[in-house]
Amino acid sequence: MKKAISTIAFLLLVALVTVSLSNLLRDKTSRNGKSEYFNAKTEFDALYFGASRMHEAIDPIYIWNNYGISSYNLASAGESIQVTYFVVKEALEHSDPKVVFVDSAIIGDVKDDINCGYGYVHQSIDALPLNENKLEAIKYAGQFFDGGMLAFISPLYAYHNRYENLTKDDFVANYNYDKGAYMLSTFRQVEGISEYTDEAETLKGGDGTVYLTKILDLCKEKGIQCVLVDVPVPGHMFNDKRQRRMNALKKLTKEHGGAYMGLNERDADIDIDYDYDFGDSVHLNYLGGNKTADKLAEYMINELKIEDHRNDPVYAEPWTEDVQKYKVQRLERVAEQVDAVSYMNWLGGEDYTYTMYVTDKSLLLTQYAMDYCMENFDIKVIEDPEQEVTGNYDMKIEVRRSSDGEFAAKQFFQYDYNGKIYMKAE
Amino acid sequence: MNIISLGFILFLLAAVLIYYLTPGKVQWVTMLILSIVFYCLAATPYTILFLLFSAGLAYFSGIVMADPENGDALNGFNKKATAVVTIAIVLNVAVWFIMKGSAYWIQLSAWLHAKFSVFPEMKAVPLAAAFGMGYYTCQTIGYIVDCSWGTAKPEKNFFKLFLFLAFFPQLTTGPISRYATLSPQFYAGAKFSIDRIARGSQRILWGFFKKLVIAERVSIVVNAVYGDPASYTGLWTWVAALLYPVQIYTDFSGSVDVVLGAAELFGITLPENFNNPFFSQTSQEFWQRWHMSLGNWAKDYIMYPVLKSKKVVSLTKNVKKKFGKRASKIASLAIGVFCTWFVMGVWHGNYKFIVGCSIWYWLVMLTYEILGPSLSKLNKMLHVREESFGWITFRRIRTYIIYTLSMVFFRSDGISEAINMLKRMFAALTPSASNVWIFIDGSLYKAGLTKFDFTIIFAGIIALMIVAVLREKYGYARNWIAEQGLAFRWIIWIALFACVIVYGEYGPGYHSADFIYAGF
Repeated sequence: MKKAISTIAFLLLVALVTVSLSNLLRDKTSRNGKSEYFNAKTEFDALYFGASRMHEAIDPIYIWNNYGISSYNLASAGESIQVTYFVVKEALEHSDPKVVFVDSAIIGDVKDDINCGYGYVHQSIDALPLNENKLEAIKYAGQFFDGGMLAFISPLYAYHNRYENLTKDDFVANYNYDKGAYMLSTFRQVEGISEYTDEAETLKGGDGTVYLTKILDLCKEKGIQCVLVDVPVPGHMFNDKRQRRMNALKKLTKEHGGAYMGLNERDADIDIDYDYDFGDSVHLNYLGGNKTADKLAEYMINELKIEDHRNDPVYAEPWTEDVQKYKVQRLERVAEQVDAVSYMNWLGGEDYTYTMYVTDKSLLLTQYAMDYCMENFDIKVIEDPEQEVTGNYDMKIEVRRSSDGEFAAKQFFQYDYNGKIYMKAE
Repeated sequence: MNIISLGFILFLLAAVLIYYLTPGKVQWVTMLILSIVFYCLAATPYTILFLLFSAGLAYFSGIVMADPENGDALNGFNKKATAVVTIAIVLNVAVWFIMKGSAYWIQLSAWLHAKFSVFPEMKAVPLAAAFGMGYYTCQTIGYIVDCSWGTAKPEKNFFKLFLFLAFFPQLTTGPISRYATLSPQFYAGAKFSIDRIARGSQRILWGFFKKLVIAERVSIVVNAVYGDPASYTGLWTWVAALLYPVQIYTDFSGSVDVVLGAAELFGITLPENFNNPFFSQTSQEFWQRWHMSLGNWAKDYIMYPVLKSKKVVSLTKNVKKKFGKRASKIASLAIGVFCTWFVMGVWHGNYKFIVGCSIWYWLVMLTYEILGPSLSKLNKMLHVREESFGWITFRRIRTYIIYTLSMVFFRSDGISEAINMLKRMFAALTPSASNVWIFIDGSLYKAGLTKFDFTIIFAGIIALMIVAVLREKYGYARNWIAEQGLAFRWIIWIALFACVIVYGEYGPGYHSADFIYAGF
């Protein structure tokens, strides 16, 4: 009897260690970004789904602040439409939105192909509650990767080798308050779109198109408007092949009762500035993202008659609280920005004033998009060639709250003469 | 089914449950069914026909050799027994040769075809490779010979004999068991005991640690160097060559730990295959501690019969008369060791093993036997203290390096590749080619393993050494741990478990290498 009790105690201890290690080592991206949605008590008017283009374009907090529309971004990097289907299906069990915006980025047309990487699937579905739908997602995704379903069921199996990449966030829960969005504050000059075609390819009925249809049908069944959005991309991403695919998907979407918003099309009424609106060679930054959000909001207000809830305490109270938490978190994470321009853009110009102590004022405007900051933010530049204030660095940025002038943050930068950029000093 | 897998663990759990729910008298039937199910899950099911054929031969031979009066084996050789033994062994070896030894005739025919086009080029038999054939063929031959020698009683029940060959834990990587010691254990009726399950599980866990934490990690750098000779030059060759014995030891002995631990769960003790081989001071000792079940098999069924044969006895007598006692000893050793090593080399299934293992170790052992007395004299003259730690360590390192050089053949794709590798290794020792800086400038961490990985390997090797020392002292390290207090024991086992699940090389993005010894 004594032996049996000690054996049970030992096995329980082993189980405890396993669960603890599993929680420690698992990737937290999905949980940190999506848990807020699955635990939310507020109702949402709109939800955004899809891959990184949507994830990095639509900021629900911007939409709330400007239009009073309650929404959540459930998109995730590298997410193929097949995975999106399972996320949409689960999300619609937790709230009753009026509209669902789906990213057109990763819709393959090949049979038996998931069209995305293993880690991306984890980021998309890990936060979904374990139920029949998630198991269905795992069963579908499992057929494409080593380890099959186990690769998605057991976090240890998938992530045990993260031991070298653990950070503070793995030990202390650190949920994001950005309503699922991942806005870029970097800048990248890209080429615009030069040629257009109205021709469409013939779809072969691959897995991607099948699952897009499933999403459209699901929304139709639930009486929710589904809009397939082709988020703005640089010219090189919108080549002939891509346009033919988009034209075909547009037709398919409309056939299944959905709407299509082609923001790269010739007559798209969106003023994308290819010099300043992209954060990298593929994705919009927050400037381009907010222009896209404006288009989505316009559609919601004009076509779907979604009301402004800013004066409705049921919406406004939790939203005001969340926006406040979000601002605090943004300030906490400002140090993660690697260069001076993204540092200032991360915080934005609304709430803060900046003082720049520089050793050489003439270098300042050599950094790409610094001119944007100078024009749009409240910035005071102090030249300090002797480095009395900046010390051994080429620049110090001091951030104060506009409202009361309280100190908020500071960061040192070094000028990289090759890249002509102020990089964060280590 | 790979035995280092979750699938195998689940299979074992189910097997243990079913086995102990079965009454003791018929547990062997349960085990037979479990073994057949395992075979069908782990291998191409129809290849069980090869196993049935081998078992059938063994059964038939035993029946023919049994004394009609009492069923015992007929003591000593008679004409009938000799004929049966010969035919059965030839048939068994022939099947093995066609299936597992295919490299010999395929390569030979390709070579002959290239030289003389009249020779046809032969291709492999279009059948799936039989699972564990190298191991069960040895067991079958052992059984037949034992029956003919009268050391085993011929089995009257075919299914019981079949179980001896098909017992599932040993099918993947051996060890090679003897009928007289293994078979009776199936009928002893094991009762469920937590202690037995704990001890078996401990050994399985240790096997997982060796294989997943050390062997698989080391394999990354070894594969990188062997796979890309242009990038990994100079001392990289030594890094790979010296690490490969660690890989093969932890891989092979780790899987054998799993096999022995799994058998232990059912109350069955299989023969040990390793006994701290890297503590060996000579190559002869090394092979008494490495792959022991194959070595003992070769000794009992090849070396002794050869040395006892009339021709060899008369030959050594003649040598003794003409050249003296020592020459006769060397001659008998040369013949015995050659036969043993030749068979062991051939068993591995490729010409490169015959060169790298058989010829290499035959030469090493012969040289040692010839020069041994002179070296001892030299040591005495130089006042070398042969029992000192330094000298013992030197001898151990020497044995390790001899093994390392042999294993270059084992790891390389072929004989010419191995010779090339050896040439590169020795060229790397010249000052101009010796890129020592790779150990300092961080290059070492660019072959797929990080600094942390090397730390894990190093810590793993230290753990292996501690366990080895404990094993020398207490029989098994587990015996020593069992004597400790509860908290200490639990910490040890839980820490080992945590190491395996965290530091083990498994899961997505990682393609588990097959066991080095699972192919035989």
